[in-house]
Amino acid sequence: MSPVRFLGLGLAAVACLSLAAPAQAQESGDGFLFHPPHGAVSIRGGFNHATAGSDLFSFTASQLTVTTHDFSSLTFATDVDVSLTPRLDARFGFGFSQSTTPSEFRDFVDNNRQPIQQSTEFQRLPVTGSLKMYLSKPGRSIGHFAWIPSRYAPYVGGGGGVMWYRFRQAGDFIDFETYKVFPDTFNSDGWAPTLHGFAGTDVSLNSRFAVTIEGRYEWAHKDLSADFARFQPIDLSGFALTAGFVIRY
Amino acid sequence: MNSTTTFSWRVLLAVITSALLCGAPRAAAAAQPPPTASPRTGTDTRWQPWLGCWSATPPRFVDLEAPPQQVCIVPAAGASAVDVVTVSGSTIVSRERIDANGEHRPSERDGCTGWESAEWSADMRRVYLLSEVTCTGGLKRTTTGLMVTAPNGDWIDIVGVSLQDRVGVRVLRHRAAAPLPMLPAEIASAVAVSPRESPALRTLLPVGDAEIIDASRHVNGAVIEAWLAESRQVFTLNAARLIKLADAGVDDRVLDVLVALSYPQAFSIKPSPTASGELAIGGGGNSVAFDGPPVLL
Repeated sequence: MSPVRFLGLGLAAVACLSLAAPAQAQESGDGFLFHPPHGAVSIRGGFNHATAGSDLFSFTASQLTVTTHDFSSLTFATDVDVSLTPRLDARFGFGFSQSTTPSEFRDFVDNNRQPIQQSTEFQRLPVTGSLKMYLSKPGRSIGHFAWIPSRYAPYVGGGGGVMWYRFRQAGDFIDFETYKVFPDTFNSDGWAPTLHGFAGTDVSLNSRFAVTIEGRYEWAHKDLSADFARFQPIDLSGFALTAGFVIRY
Repeated sequence: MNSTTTFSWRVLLAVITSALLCGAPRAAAAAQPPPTASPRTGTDTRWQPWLGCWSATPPRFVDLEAPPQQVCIVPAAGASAVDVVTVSGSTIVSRERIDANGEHRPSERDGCTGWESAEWSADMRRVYLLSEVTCTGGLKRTTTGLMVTAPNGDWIDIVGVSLQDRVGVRVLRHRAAAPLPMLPAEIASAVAVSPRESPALRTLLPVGDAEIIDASRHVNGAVIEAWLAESRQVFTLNAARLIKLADAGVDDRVLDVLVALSYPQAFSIKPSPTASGELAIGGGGNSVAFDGPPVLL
Protein backbone atom coordinates (compact mmCIF):
# COMPACT_ATOMS: atom_id res chain seq x y z
CA MET A 1 0.00 0.00 0.00
CA SER A 2 1.42 3.35 -0.95
CA PRO A 3 1.96 5.89 1.83
CA VAL A 4 -0.48 8.30 0.21
CA ARG A 5 -3.24 5.69 0.16
CA PHE A 6 -2.30 4.77 3.71
CA LEU A 7 -2.61 8.41 4.72
CA GLY A 8 -5.97 8.66 2.98
CA LEU A 9 -7.31 5.59 4.74
CA GLY A 10 -6.03 6.88 8.06
CA LEU A 11 -7.72 10.25 7.62
CA ALA A 12 -10.94 8.51 6.64
CA ALA A 13 -10.80 6.38 9.78
CA VAL A 14 -10.23 9.44 11.94
CA ALA A 15 -13.10 11.24 10.22
CA CYS A 16 -15.40 8.29 10.95
CA LEU A 17 -14.39 8.27 14.61
CA SER A 18 -14.81 12.04 14.83
CA LEU A 19 -18.30 11.82 13.39
CA ALA A 20 -19.19 8.89 15.61
CA ALA A 21 -18.38 10.80 18.78
CA PRO A 22 -21.01 13.55 18.37
CA ALA A 23 -23.56 10.90 17.42
CA GLN A 24 -23.28 9.71 21.01
CA ALA A 25 -24.01 13.17 22.37
CA GLN A 26 -26.85 11.83 24.52
CA GLU A 27 -24.22 10.10 26.61
CA SER A 28 -23.28 13.34 28.26
CA GLY A 29 -24.78 15.72 30.75
CA ASP A 30 -24.17 19.39 31.33
CA GLY A 31 -20.40 19.50 31.68
CA PHE A 32 -19.87 15.81 32.24
CA LEU A 33 -19.97 12.46 30.51
CA PHE A 34 -22.02 9.59 31.83
CA HIS A 35 -18.89 7.44 31.92
CA PRO A 36 -15.14 7.96 31.79
CA PRO A 37 -14.03 8.30 28.16
CA HIS A 38 -12.81 5.17 26.44
CA GLY A 39 -10.20 7.33 24.75
CA ALA A 40 -9.84 10.26 22.43
CA VAL A 41 -9.13 11.19 18.86
CA SER A 42 -6.91 14.18 18.24
CA ILE A 43 -6.26 16.07 15.03
CA ARG A 44 -3.36 18.49 15.12
CA GLY A 45 -1.44 20.76 12.85
CA GLY A 46 1.73 22.71 13.33
CA PHE A 47 5.32 23.03 12.29
CA ASN A 48 7.92 20.30 12.05
CA HIS A 49 11.48 21.48 12.37
CA ALA A 50 13.64 18.95 10.54
CA THR A 51 16.96 18.35 12.24
CA ALA A 52 18.51 17.74 8.81
CA GLY A 53 21.73 16.70 10.49
CA SER A 54 23.22 14.30 7.96
CA ASP A 55 25.67 15.14 5.21
CA LEU A 56 23.12 14.87 2.44
CA PHE A 57 21.41 18.00 3.75
CA SER A 58 24.61 19.92 4.30
CA PHE A 59 25.85 18.97 0.84
CA THR A 60 22.57 20.01 -0.70
CA ALA A 61 22.64 23.28 1.20
CA SER A 62 26.20 23.95 0.15
CA GLN A 63 25.59 23.33 -3.55
CA LEU A 64 22.04 24.56 -3.99
CA THR A 65 20.25 27.71 -2.93
CA VAL A 66 18.57 26.03 -0.01
CA THR A 67 19.27 26.00 3.70
CA THR A 68 18.68 23.16 6.14
CA HIS A 69 15.71 25.15 7.46
CA ASP A 70 13.99 24.66 4.11
CA PHE A 71 13.47 20.99 4.95
CA SER A 72 11.24 22.00 7.85
CA SER A 73 7.59 22.28 7.00
CA LEU A 74 4.00 22.35 8.12
CA THR A 75 2.89 19.07 9.63
CA PHE A 76 -0.37 17.32 10.32
CA ALA A 77 -0.84 14.55 12.82
CA THR A 78 -3.64 12.52 14.21
CA ASP A 79 -3.76 10.13 17.11
CA VAL A 80 -6.25 7.68 18.52
CA ASP A 81 -5.89 7.19 22.26
CA VAL A 82 -7.28 4.18 24.05
CA SER A 83 -7.60 4.51 27.78
CA LEU A 84 -5.78 1.78 29.70
CA THR A 85 -6.11 3.28 33.16
CA PRO A 86 -7.50 6.65 34.28
CA ARG A 87 -4.08 8.22 33.71
CA LEU A 88 -2.50 6.01 31.07
CA ASP A 89 -3.47 5.76 27.41
CA ALA A 90 -2.19 3.66 24.54
CA ARG A 91 -1.80 5.90 21.52
CA PHE A 92 -1.75 5.04 17.87
CA GLY A 93 -1.07 7.73 15.37
CA PHE A 94 0.48 8.98 12.25
CA GLY A 95 1.67 12.28 10.88
CA PHE A 96 2.69 13.82 7.65
CA SER A 97 5.09 16.56 6.72
CA GLN A 98 6.43 17.58 3.36
CA SER A 99 8.71 20.29 2.10
CA THR A 100 9.22 21.12 -1.54
CA THR A 101 11.99 23.58 -2.17
CA PRO A 102 12.85 24.99 -5.59
CA SER A 103 16.51 25.81 -5.97
CA GLU A 104 19.38 26.41 -8.32
CA PHE A 105 23.10 25.82 -8.14
CA ARG A 106 24.82 28.48 -6.07
CA ASP A 107 28.03 28.70 -8.09
CA PHE A 108 27.12 27.55 -11.56
CA VAL A 109 24.95 28.65 -14.45
CA ASP A 110 24.39 26.97 -17.80
CA ASN A 111 25.80 27.94 -21.16
CA ASN A 112 23.12 30.56 -21.57
CA ARG A 113 23.96 32.03 -18.19
CA GLN A 114 20.64 30.81 -16.93
CA PRO A 115 20.33 29.24 -13.47
CA ILE A 116 20.46 25.46 -13.26
CA GLN A 117 17.21 24.73 -11.50
CA GLN A 118 15.85 21.77 -9.64
CA SER A 119 13.44 20.97 -6.82
CA THR A 120 14.04 19.05 -3.60
CA GLU A 121 11.17 17.22 -1.98
CA PHE A 122 11.39 15.80 1.53
CA GLN A 123 8.47 13.81 2.94
CA ARG A 124 8.06 12.04 6.26
CA LEU A 125 5.13 9.96 7.45
CA PRO A 126 5.57 8.38 10.89
CA VAL A 127 3.24 5.60 11.99
CA THR A 128 3.69 5.09 15.69
CA GLY A 129 2.47 3.55 18.87
CA SER A 130 3.01 5.21 22.24
CA LEU A 131 2.17 5.25 25.88
CA LYS A 132 0.74 8.55 27.08
CA MET A 133 0.70 9.33 30.77
CA TYR A 134 -1.23 12.19 32.28
CA LEU A 135 0.71 14.11 34.91
CA SER A 136 -2.50 14.92 36.75
CA LYS A 137 -5.96 13.43 36.70
CA PRO A 138 -7.51 14.12 33.30
CA GLY A 139 -10.94 14.03 34.89
CA ARG A 140 -12.89 13.13 37.95
CA SER A 141 -15.42 10.37 38.29
CA ILE A 142 -18.31 11.22 40.56
CA GLY A 143 -20.57 8.35 41.38
CA HIS A 144 -21.01 5.77 38.67
CA PHE A 145 -22.55 8.01 36.04
CA ALA A 146 -20.55 11.21 35.91
CA TRP A 147 -17.08 11.96 34.64
CA ILE A 148 -16.00 15.60 34.68
CA PRO A 149 -12.91 16.53 32.67
CA SER A 150 -10.16 18.57 34.27
CA ARG A 151 -9.68 22.02 32.76
CA TYR A 152 -6.02 21.26 32.05
CA ALA A 153 -4.56 17.79 31.58
CA PRO A 154 -0.79 17.87 30.99
CA TYR A 155 0.81 14.68 29.73
CA VAL A 156 4.05 13.11 28.59
CA GLY A 157 4.72 10.01 26.59
CA GLY A 158 6.92 8.11 24.26
CA GLY A 159 7.01 5.21 21.89
CA GLY A 160 8.19 3.97 18.58
CA GLY A 161 7.14 2.83 15.17
CA VAL A 162 8.15 3.23 11.59
CA MET A 163 8.56 6.26 9.39
CA TRP A 164 8.12 6.34 5.67
CA TYR A 165 10.27 8.93 4.00
CA ARG A 166 11.07 10.20 0.56
CA PHE A 167 13.98 12.44 -0.46
CA ARG A 168 13.72 13.34 -4.10
CA GLN A 169 15.53 15.86 -6.25
CA ALA A 170 14.30 16.53 -9.76
CA GLY A 171 15.52 19.02 -12.34
CA ASP A 172 18.84 19.87 -13.88
CA PHE A 173 22.14 18.81 -12.37
CA ILE A 174 25.82 19.09 -13.16
CA ASP A 175 28.16 16.21 -13.88
CA PHE A 176 31.21 17.52 -12.03
CA GLU A 177 33.54 15.32 -14.07
CA THR A 178 32.41 16.70 -17.43
CA TYR A 179 30.63 19.88 -16.20
CA LYS A 180 27.74 18.99 -18.41
CA VAL A 181 24.23 19.87 -17.31
CA PHE A 182 21.75 17.03 -17.47
CA PRO A 183 18.14 16.54 -16.39
CA ASP A 184 17.52 13.78 -13.88
CA THR A 185 15.59 12.66 -10.81
CA PHE A 186 17.33 11.29 -7.76
CA ASN A 187 15.16 9.45 -5.30
CA SER A 188 15.45 7.60 -2.03
CA ASP A 189 12.47 6.36 -0.04
CA GLY A 190 11.52 3.59 2.34
CA TRP A 191 10.59 2.77 5.89
CA ALA A 192 12.79 3.54 8.84
CA PRO A 193 12.40 2.61 12.50
CA THR A 194 11.63 5.60 14.68
CA LEU A 195 11.48 6.52 18.35
CA HIS A 196 9.78 9.55 19.81
CA GLY A 197 8.93 11.40 23.00
CA PHE A 198 6.28 14.01 23.51
CA ALA A 199 4.74 16.36 26.06
CA GLY A 200 1.64 18.46 25.89
CA THR A 201 -1.54 19.50 27.55
CA ASP A 202 -5.23 19.19 26.84
CA VAL A 203 -7.45 22.15 27.66
CA SER A 204 -11.05 21.07 27.97
CA LEU A 205 -13.72 23.11 26.24
CA ASN A 206 -16.53 20.88 27.47
CA SER A 207 -17.03 17.27 28.44
CA ARG A 208 -16.53 16.03 24.88
CA PHE A 209 -14.09 18.44 23.25
CA ALA A 210 -10.70 19.85 24.15
CA VAL A 211 -7.95 21.74 22.46
CA THR A 212 -4.46 20.38 22.74
CA ILE A 213 -0.92 21.63 22.26
CA GLU A 214 1.94 19.20 21.97
CA GLY A 215 5.68 19.13 21.38
CA ARG A 216 7.20 15.94 19.97
CA TYR A 217 10.70 14.92 19.04
CA GLU A 218 11.08 12.06 16.58
CA TRP A 219 14.36 10.29 15.99
CA ALA A 220 15.00 8.26 12.85
CA HIS A 221 17.87 7.50 10.48
CA LYS A 222 17.90 5.40 7.35
CA ASP A 223 20.41 4.31 4.74
CA LEU A 224 19.91 6.07 1.43
CA SER A 225 19.25 4.37 -1.87
CA ALA A 226 21.81 3.88 -4.61
CA ASP A 227 20.99 7.32 -6.02
CA PHE A 228 22.77 8.80 -2.99
CA ALA A 229 25.25 6.00 -2.47
CA ARG A 230 28.12 7.98 -1.07
CA PHE A 231 26.16 9.71 1.66
CA GLN A 232 25.67 8.77 5.29
CA PRO A 233 22.25 7.55 6.47
CA ILE A 234 19.71 10.31 6.13
CA ASP A 235 18.65 12.11 9.30
CA LEU A 236 14.87 11.98 9.45
CA SER A 237 14.62 13.39 12.96
CA GLY A 238 12.73 16.51 13.87
CA PHE A 239 10.84 18.43 16.48
CA ALA A 240 7.17 19.14 15.85
CA LEU A 241 5.06 21.68 17.70
CA THR A 242 1.39 21.14 17.00
CA ALA A 243 -2.00 22.25 18.24
CA GLY A 244 -5.43 20.89 17.50
CA PHE A 245 -8.67 19.42 18.73
CA VAL A 246 -9.40 16.42 20.87
CA ILE A 247 -12.67 14.53 20.73
CA ARG A 248 -13.33 12.13 23.59
CA TYR A 249 -15.29 9.03 22.83
CA MET B 1 -10.29 68.47 61.66
CA ASN B 2 -8.45 65.20 61.56
CA SER B 3 -9.78 64.10 64.93
CA THR B 4 -13.34 64.87 63.79
CA THR B 5 -12.89 62.77 60.69
CA THR B 6 -11.45 59.87 62.71
CA PHE B 7 -14.30 60.11 65.17
CA SER B 8 -16.88 60.01 62.39
CA TRP B 9 -15.37 56.90 60.89
CA ARG B 10 -15.29 55.19 64.31
CA VAL B 11 -18.94 56.02 64.89
CA LEU B 12 -19.86 54.75 61.44
CA LEU B 13 -17.89 51.53 61.99
CA ALA B 14 -19.55 51.00 65.34
CA VAL B 15 -23.01 51.52 63.86
CA ILE B 16 -22.33 49.09 61.02
CA THR B 17 -20.89 46.48 63.39
CA SER B 18 -23.87 46.81 65.72
CA ALA B 19 -26.27 46.48 62.85
CA LEU B 20 -24.54 43.39 61.59
CA LEU B 21 -24.38 41.81 65.03
CA CYS B 22 -28.03 42.49 65.66
CA GLY B 23 -29.10 41.57 62.18
CA ALA B 24 -27.34 38.22 61.94
CA PRO B 25 -29.47 36.35 64.47
CA ARG B 26 -32.58 37.87 62.96
CA ALA B 27 -31.61 36.65 59.51
CA ALA B 28 -30.94 33.18 60.87
CA ALA B 29 -34.24 33.21 62.68
CA ALA B 30 -36.01 34.19 59.50
CA ALA B 31 -34.45 31.30 57.63
CA GLN B 32 -35.40 28.74 60.25
CA PRO B 33 -38.50 29.60 62.22
CA PRO B 34 -38.07 28.68 65.87
CA PRO B 35 -40.10 25.71 67.06
CA THR B 36 -43.24 26.68 68.86
CA ALA B 37 -45.77 24.68 70.79
CA SER B 38 -49.35 24.35 69.72
CA PRO B 39 -51.52 26.33 72.19
CA ARG B 40 -54.08 23.51 72.28
CA THR B 41 -51.86 20.45 72.67
CA GLY B 42 -48.47 21.75 73.66
CA THR B 43 -46.98 19.73 70.79
CA ASP B 44 -44.19 21.15 68.69
CA THR B 45 -45.93 22.86 65.77
CA ARG B 46 -43.50 21.26 63.33
CA TRP B 47 -45.38 18.01 63.89
CA GLN B 48 -48.72 19.55 62.94
CA PRO B 49 -48.70 18.40 59.29
CA TRP B 50 -48.07 14.84 60.45
CA LEU B 51 -50.62 14.60 63.25
CA GLY B 52 -53.64 12.45 62.55
CA CYS B 53 -54.26 9.16 60.82
CA TRP B 54 -52.73 7.84 57.61
CA SER B 55 -53.39 4.94 55.33
CA ALA B 56 -50.71 3.15 53.37
CA THR B 57 -50.75 3.99 49.70
CA PRO B 58 -51.04 1.96 47.64
CA PRO B 59 -53.04 -0.17 50.10
CA ARG B 60 -50.86 -2.88 51.59
CA PHE B 61 -53.65 -5.42 51.95
CA VAL B 62 -56.34 -6.59 49.64
CA ASP B 63 -57.90 -9.02 52.10
CA LEU B 64 -61.36 -7.55 52.48
CA GLU B 65 -62.00 -9.58 55.63
CA ALA B 66 -58.91 -8.29 57.40
CA PRO B 67 -59.48 -5.31 59.69
CA PRO B 68 -58.41 -2.01 58.13
CA GLN B 69 -55.07 -0.65 59.19
CA GLN B 70 -54.04 2.90 59.88
CA VAL B 71 -51.04 4.64 61.27
CA CYS B 72 -51.90 7.52 63.56
CA ILE B 73 -49.49 10.11 64.82
CA VAL B 74 -50.55 11.58 68.12
CA PRO B 75 -48.89 13.96 70.55
CA ALA B 76 -46.85 12.34 73.30
CA ALA B 77 -45.41 13.54 76.54
CA GLY B 78 -42.81 16.16 75.85
CA ALA B 79 -43.25 19.01 73.47
CA SER B 80 -40.95 17.55 70.82
CA ALA B 81 -42.38 14.01 70.90
CA VAL B 82 -45.10 12.14 69.08
CA ASP B 83 -46.26 8.56 69.14
CA VAL B 84 -46.58 6.67 65.88
CA VAL B 85 -49.32 4.18 66.56
CA THR B 86 -50.19 1.39 64.15
CA VAL B 87 -53.79 0.34 64.51
CA SER B 88 -55.49 -2.68 63.04
CA GLY B 89 -59.22 -2.26 63.46
CA SER B 90 -59.63 -1.40 67.12
CA THR B 91 -56.34 -2.97 68.18
CA ILE B 92 -53.10 -1.14 68.70
CA VAL B 93 -50.47 -3.21 66.91
CA SER B 94 -47.43 -1.13 67.74
CA ARG B 95 -46.49 2.17 69.27
CA GLU B 96 -43.24 3.94 68.59
CA ARG B 97 -42.19 7.17 70.22
CA ILE B 98 -40.30 9.75 68.22
CA ASP B 99 -38.78 12.53 70.26
CA ALA B 100 -37.08 14.86 67.84
CA ASN B 101 -34.79 16.54 70.36
CA GLY B 102 -31.60 14.94 69.08
CA GLU B 103 -30.90 13.11 72.32
CA HIS B 104 -29.98 9.44 72.50
CA ARG B 105 -32.63 7.37 74.23
CA PRO B 106 -31.99 3.81 75.39
CA SER B 107 -33.64 1.26 73.18
CA GLU B 108 -34.42 -2.41 73.68
CA ARG B 109 -36.28 -4.43 71.10
CA ASP B 110 -36.25 -8.04 69.93
CA GLY B 111 -33.25 -8.88 72.07
CA CYS B 112 -31.24 -5.96 70.74
CA THR B 113 -30.12 -3.10 72.95
CA GLY B 114 -28.70 0.29 72.10
CA TRP B 115 -29.97 3.79 71.53
CA GLU B 116 -32.20 5.71 69.21
CA SER B 117 -32.66 9.37 68.46
CA ALA B 118 -34.54 11.71 66.21
CA GLU B 119 -33.91 15.26 65.13
CA TRP B 120 -35.24 17.81 62.74
CA SER B 121 -33.41 18.70 59.59
CA ALA B 122 -31.69 22.06 59.37
CA ASP B 123 -34.65 23.52 57.50
CA MET B 124 -37.16 21.83 59.83
CA ARG B 125 -38.88 20.08 56.92
CA ARG B 126 -37.82 16.50 57.65
CA VAL B 127 -37.12 14.29 60.62
CA TYR B 128 -34.01 12.18 60.74
CA LEU B 129 -34.23 8.94 62.68
CA LEU B 130 -31.16 7.13 63.93
CA SER B 131 -30.60 4.05 66.02
CA GLU B 132 -27.74 1.78 66.82
CA VAL B 133 -28.30 -1.53 68.53
CA THR B 134 -26.28 -4.60 69.31
CA CYS B 135 -28.06 -7.89 69.00
CA THR B 136 -27.36 -11.42 70.14
CA GLY B 137 -23.93 -12.54 69.06
CA GLY B 138 -22.58 -8.99 69.12
CA LEU B 139 -24.11 -8.19 65.76
CA LYS B 140 -24.29 -4.43 65.36
CA ARG B 141 -27.24 -2.96 63.48
CA THR B 142 -27.51 0.67 62.49
CA THR B 143 -30.76 2.14 61.34
CA THR B 144 -31.27 5.55 59.76
CA GLY B 145 -34.57 6.86 58.59
CA LEU B 146 -36.29 9.81 57.13
CA MET B 147 -39.77 11.22 57.61
CA VAL B 148 -40.61 13.58 54.81
CA THR B 149 -43.63 15.19 53.22
CA ALA B 150 -44.07 14.51 49.52
CA PRO B 151 -45.10 17.31 47.17
CA ASN B 152 -48.65 15.97 47.14
CA GLY B 153 -48.81 15.97 50.92
CA ASP B 154 -48.13 12.24 51.38
CA TRP B 155 -45.98 11.17 54.28
CA ILE B 156 -43.02 9.17 53.06
CA ASP B 157 -41.34 7.04 55.69
CA ILE B 158 -37.99 5.59 54.66
CA VAL B 159 -35.88 3.34 56.83
CA GLY B 160 -32.47 1.94 56.01
CA VAL B 161 -30.98 -0.86 58.07
CA SER B 162 -27.23 -1.42 57.87
CA LEU B 163 -25.84 -4.77 58.85
CA GLN B 164 -22.12 -5.06 58.26
CA ASP B 165 -21.63 -3.84 54.68
CA ARG B 166 -25.18 -4.38 53.50
CA VAL B 167 -28.06 -1.96 53.59
CA GLY B 168 -31.75 -2.75 53.39
CA VAL B 169 -34.18 0.03 52.62
CA ARG B 170 -37.90 0.12 53.22
CA VAL B 171 -40.09 2.83 51.79
CA LEU B 172 -43.61 3.44 53.01
CA ARG B 173 -45.91 6.02 51.57
CA HIS B 174 -48.91 7.12 53.61
CA ARG B 175 -51.79 9.28 52.56
CA ALA B 176 -53.83 11.37 54.99
CA ALA B 177 -57.08 9.64 55.87
CA ALA B 178 -60.06 10.21 58.11
CA PRO B 179 -59.71 8.25 61.35
CA LEU B 180 -61.34 4.83 61.29
CA PRO B 181 -64.58 4.73 63.26
CA MET B 182 -63.37 1.76 65.31
CA LEU B 183 -60.14 3.40 66.50
CA PRO B 184 -59.30 2.81 70.13
CA ALA B 185 -60.78 5.62 72.22
CA GLU B 186 -57.39 6.79 73.38
CA ILE B 187 -56.19 7.33 69.83
CA ALA B 188 -59.49 8.69 68.58
CA SER B 189 -59.53 11.38 71.26
CA ALA B 190 -55.90 12.29 70.70
CA VAL B 191 -56.54 12.68 67.00
CA ALA B 192 -59.63 14.76 67.66
CA VAL B 193 -57.76 17.11 69.98
CA SER B 194 -54.85 17.51 67.57
CA PRO B 195 -56.22 17.93 64.07
CA ARG B 196 -53.78 17.81 61.23
CA GLU B 197 -52.78 21.07 59.64
CA SER B 198 -51.91 21.33 55.99
CA PRO B 199 -48.18 21.34 55.47
CA ALA B 200 -46.72 24.78 55.17
CA LEU B 201 -45.85 25.78 51.65
CA ARG B 202 -42.15 25.72 52.41
CA THR B 203 -42.29 22.05 53.35
CA LEU B 204 -43.42 21.29 49.81
CA LEU B 205 -40.64 23.25 48.11
CA PRO B 206 -38.42 21.27 45.76
CA VAL B 207 -35.48 19.50 47.31
CA GLY B 208 -32.24 21.39 46.73
CA ASP B 209 -28.54 20.85 47.28
CA ALA B 210 -28.63 22.12 50.86
CA GLU B 211 -31.32 19.62 51.80
CA ILE B 212 -29.42 16.74 50.21
CA ILE B 213 -26.16 17.72 51.89
CA ASP B 214 -27.90 18.08 55.24
CA ALA B 215 -29.55 14.68 54.87
CA SER B 216 -26.22 13.13 53.87
CA ARG B 217 -24.78 14.15 57.21
CA HIS B 218 -27.50 12.32 59.09
CA VAL B 219 -28.75 9.28 57.24
CA ASN B 220 -27.43 6.51 55.04
CA GLY B 221 -27.02 7.26 51.35
CA ALA B 222 -29.38 4.42 50.48
CA VAL B 223 -32.14 6.19 52.40
CA ILE B 224 -31.56 9.45 50.53
CA GLU B 225 -31.38 7.56 47.26
CA ALA B 226 -34.77 6.01 48.00
CA TRP B 227 -36.20 9.38 49.03
CA LEU B 228 -35.11 11.09 45.82
CA ALA B 229 -36.20 8.19 43.65
CA GLU B 230 -39.57 8.19 45.37
CA SER B 231 -39.96 11.94 44.95
CA ARG B 232 -39.38 11.77 41.17
CA GLN B 233 -38.45 15.43 41.33
CA VAL B 234 -36.74 16.61 38.16
CA PHE B 235 -33.27 17.97 38.82
CA THR B 236 -31.01 19.98 36.56
CA LEU B 237 -27.63 18.70 37.54
CA ASN B 238 -24.48 20.06 35.97
CA ALA B 239 -20.78 19.47 36.59
CA ALA B 240 -20.43 22.32 39.09
CA ARG B 241 -23.33 21.08 41.21
CA LEU B 242 -22.01 17.54 41.08
CA ILE B 243 -18.61 18.65 42.34
CA LYS B 244 -20.22 20.72 45.08
CA LEU B 245 -22.33 17.80 46.24
CA ALA B 246 -19.47 15.29 46.03
CA ASP B 247 -17.12 17.58 47.93
CA ALA B 248 -19.79 17.98 50.60
CA GLY B 249 -19.65 14.23 51.15
CA VAL B 250 -22.84 13.19 49.41
CA ASP B 251 -22.84 9.44 48.80
CA ASP B 252 -22.11 8.12 45.30
CA ARG B 253 -25.45 6.35 45.08
CA VAL B 254 -27.22 9.61 45.84
CA LEU B 255 -25.27 11.35 43.11
CA ASP B 256 -26.17 8.53 40.74
CA VAL B 257 -29.88 8.92 41.35
CA LEU B 258 -29.56 12.69 40.96
CA VAL B 259 -27.92 12.18 37.56
CA ALA B 260 -30.68 9.76 36.61
CA LEU B 261 -33.40 12.20 37.70
CA SER B 262 -31.68 15.01 35.79
CA TYR B 263 -31.45 13.05 32.55
CA PRO B 264 -34.58 10.91 32.35
CA GLN B 265 -34.08 10.43 28.62
CA ALA B 266 -30.82 8.64 29.25
CA PHE B 267 -31.61 6.78 32.46
CA SER B 268 -34.51 4.88 33.83
CA ILE B 269 -35.15 4.34 37.48
CA LYS B 270 -36.91 1.22 38.60
CA PRO B 271 -40.01 1.78 40.66
CA SER B 272 -39.10 1.28 44.27
CA PRO B 273 -39.48 -2.43 45.05
CA THR B 274 -40.25 -1.48 48.59
CA ALA B 275 -43.13 0.81 47.82
CA SER B 276 -45.50 -1.57 49.52
CA GLY B 277 -43.31 -2.05 52.53
CA GLU B 278 -40.98 -4.94 51.79
CA LEU B 279 -37.37 -4.64 52.79
CA ALA B 280 -34.99 -4.52 49.87
CA ILE B 281 -31.48 -5.69 50.49
CA GLY B 282 -28.73 -3.96 48.62
CA GLY B 283 -24.98 -3.95 48.77
CA GLY B 284 -22.73 -0.98 48.40
CA GLY B 285 -23.70 -0.36 44.80
CA ASN B 286 -26.73 1.15 43.23
CA SER B 287 -28.05 -1.78 41.24
CA VAL B 288 -31.32 -1.58 43.08
CA ALA B 289 -32.25 1.76 41.61
CA PHE B 290 -31.10 1.54 38.04
CA ASP B 291 -31.89 -0.63 35.10
CA GLY B 292 -28.28 -0.55 34.07
CA PRO B 293 -26.09 1.62 31.97
CA PRO B 294 -27.42 4.76 30.32
CA VAL B 295 -30.03 4.08 27.72
CA LEU B 296 -29.18 5.60 24.37
CA LEU B 297 -32.06 7.21 22.56
